[in-house]
Amino acid sequence: MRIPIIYLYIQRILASIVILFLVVSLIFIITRLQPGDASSSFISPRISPKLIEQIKSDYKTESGIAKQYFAFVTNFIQGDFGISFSYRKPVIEVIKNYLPFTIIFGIVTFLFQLIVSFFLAVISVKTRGTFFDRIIKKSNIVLYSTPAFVTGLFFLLIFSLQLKIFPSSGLSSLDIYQKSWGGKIIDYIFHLTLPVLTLSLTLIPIYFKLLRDNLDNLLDAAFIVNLRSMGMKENIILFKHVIPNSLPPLISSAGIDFGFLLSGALITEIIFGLPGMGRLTVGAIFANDYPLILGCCFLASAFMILSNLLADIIRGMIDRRSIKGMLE
Amino acid sequence: MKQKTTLALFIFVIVFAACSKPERSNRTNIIIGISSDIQSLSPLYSFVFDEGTISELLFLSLVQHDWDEAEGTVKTEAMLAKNWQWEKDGSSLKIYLREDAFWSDGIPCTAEDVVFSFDVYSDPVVQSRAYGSFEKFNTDSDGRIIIGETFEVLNPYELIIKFKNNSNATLFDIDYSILPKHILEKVPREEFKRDKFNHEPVTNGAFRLERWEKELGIILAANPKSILYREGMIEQIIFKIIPDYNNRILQLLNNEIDLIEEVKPEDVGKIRDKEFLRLGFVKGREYDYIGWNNIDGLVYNRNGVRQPHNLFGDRSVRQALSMALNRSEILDNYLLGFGEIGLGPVPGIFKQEYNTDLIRFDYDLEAARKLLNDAGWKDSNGDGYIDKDGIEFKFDLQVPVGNPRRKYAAEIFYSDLKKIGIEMRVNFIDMGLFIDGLFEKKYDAWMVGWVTQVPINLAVQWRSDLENTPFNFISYKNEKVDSLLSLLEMNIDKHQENEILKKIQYHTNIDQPVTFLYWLDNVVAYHSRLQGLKFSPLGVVIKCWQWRIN
Repeated sequence: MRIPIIYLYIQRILASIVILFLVVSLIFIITRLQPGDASSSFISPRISPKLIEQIKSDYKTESGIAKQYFAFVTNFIQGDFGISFSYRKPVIEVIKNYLPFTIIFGIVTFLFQLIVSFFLAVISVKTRGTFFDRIIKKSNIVLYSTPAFVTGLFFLLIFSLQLKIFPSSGLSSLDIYQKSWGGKIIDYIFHLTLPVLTLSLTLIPIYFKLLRDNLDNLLDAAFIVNLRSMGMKENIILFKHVIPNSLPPLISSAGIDFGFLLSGALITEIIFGLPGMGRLTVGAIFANDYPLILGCCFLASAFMILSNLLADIIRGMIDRRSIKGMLE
Repeated sequence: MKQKTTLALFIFVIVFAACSKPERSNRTNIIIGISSDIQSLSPLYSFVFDEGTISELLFLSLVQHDWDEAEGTVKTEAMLAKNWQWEKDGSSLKIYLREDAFWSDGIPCTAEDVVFSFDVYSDPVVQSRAYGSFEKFNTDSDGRIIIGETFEVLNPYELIIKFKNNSNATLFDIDYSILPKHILEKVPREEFKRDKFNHEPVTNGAFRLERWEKELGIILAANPKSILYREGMIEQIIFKIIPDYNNRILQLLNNEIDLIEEVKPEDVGKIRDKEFLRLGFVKGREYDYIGWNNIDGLVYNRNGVRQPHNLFGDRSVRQALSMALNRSEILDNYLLGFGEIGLGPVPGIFKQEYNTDLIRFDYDLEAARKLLNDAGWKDSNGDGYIDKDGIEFKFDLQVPVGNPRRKYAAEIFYSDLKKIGIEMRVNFIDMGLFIDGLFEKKYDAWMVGWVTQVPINLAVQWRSDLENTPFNFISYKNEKVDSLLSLLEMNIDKHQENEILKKIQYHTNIDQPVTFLYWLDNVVAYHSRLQGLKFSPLGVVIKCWQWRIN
């Protein structure tokens, strides 16, 4: 069994690399075929037409798309995405400034979402049919239907403008470099509380619903009724038999969402002025900054594929039947 | 147990709240909210407005320009040049530099830096923001200033600048921030764009860079060694990056930041309600317009022939269109009065250059109908749309996406034109695509904005030579305007120049090559503790070393 599993994972990794390459190639072709170029961001009455002409000729390569693609692939294999037009720096260097925040923010938000939705679902299912259960379910609908920008602005108004507890923008205070390590950590926590809450509230209702429905169905399943009739305690049934069996669908869904989170969270980043990949990617698209678009898209695709792979592995570890299914 | 948990939570929140309060400006610093981070602090690459504003605080120019509100014009003041003397025929300029100006690394700022700076700005390899703007200097075929023919360094603090014959050069032509030669001469020119000087510059201006936290803010500290330093100057200016407009407003209302520009008219009331906030209004030199392609772009692209456009080639039709658009409605209902109806390419703030006798082409559907009727446009088949020689008056208006004001205006104009039997289909397109289409003369009509430069340069948009005037998107041609623009390049005095500018405005007004919509005010909101602000059309923050904190 072990060798086929390793073989399966190698196969998945190889397939992921091929998918990644295809995605990046597709994005390369789309960006090159679309009209407009990076010079449009320089058009202004303050700039002489001579300079515009020169910048335009710099951005428009004379060689055909096939040659450009070949050059791109050669550089891509060497890990070189070229120079960003708008930042005038290598793409890798630009991304390095945004990636650490995105990863940390993504992981913290993701864990927060999972933990909160898990506890809410367990409490809700344990208090099935009660007033508390109904309240959780109703508020879930409200949260699900509220867009992130509304939640974000609401939090800003309440916690920043009215209560003056949390800062209203940025990843940290501007004088963070003068603070001690402890002060720095508190400063980051303070700045990230509202963004994490804003972003989490978009996915908590989905995870809650998924988990709550699974738990609900499993609690009425025949094997659980059987265990109950054998006199097993409710808590043991819940934690040992119901919860582990309810997790695989959640993990599959969370795998996709985690990939999205690591690609950036545009709305939250804009509202709270955070330096994330979402803002970087959209800025690159608006500026027609092809090398940067490709760099960002490559990372987004890589995160998506990787998080899916990770989700499959975890699912396999929890429920070996899923691996068996894949092998068959 | 529950009580203990609640107590612990309460203590946790209190401790957190005590540890990190929202940032606030204090008695010695101010915080200015800006929408995005900049890419470079070097004046070579200050392509966007905020980059220009910040780099001007860090670097000295030979002269500085300020707005004279009473005269409605720009006045020149000394900066790095303590004095200057023009040759009688205006062909050269002797400059006396201040001897007490130093770079932040202690090296004196001299005439060698001045010569080096002009060489770098005009070097095509560097691709600075000023490249191509040195027409009044002796340049080679690539536009690079010929140093030997242009500069004569008499001593470290005196130099002569020689201009091209009959170039009508002014002090605007030497208004560039000076760069440190001793630092940049070591950098290969092709590496300038990527050099660390863009992020850690050696400066000589009123402020020095204290810290640049990417995507968070830029902190400038007063430079006590600068020639611009004065007692009581603001010690620290922080440009805080807040991408979301609503958040910028919230932080201003919350007393977290001290100044923001481009306040939307609908937020003016909220700011007026706060006692500690003040409003300032910068009368605009930015306007929206509808461009009517004066020629058939397809024919021009095919064989270079300027054939009048079948809809907009006729002046009286363009006049009729201007009269059919209810510009006042947008000014009153959307801009809430923070603007002015546009009549020509020169705004009213230029009191000496502005022509006060222009026709307003106010909203008058009857007059518009009559003009169209006289030009042969009638509804001959009774379908509700006017036509002429079998062509119905229907066209597409291209509008770049992402501007709610223009979207609102397009909706109003659509219904205005429908009332006189014209169908205007509105297309919202991507800005990059839109600009490409403008250069390729693909569009019949479009709505976009433009800024009148200081000093006023109408040739860049209104000269008919399309090869050398790529910004003449509408392909306007009026021989009188061409000859007036040529006269402006001669050695003429200021009075003559103003008269010529008024005549050009007359022609662009009567021809209505575009419909000038409205000049847009820049509404500035700031904390009442800030003193000495000037609401100059050149920029609000540009001379903030003169501000004081009350």
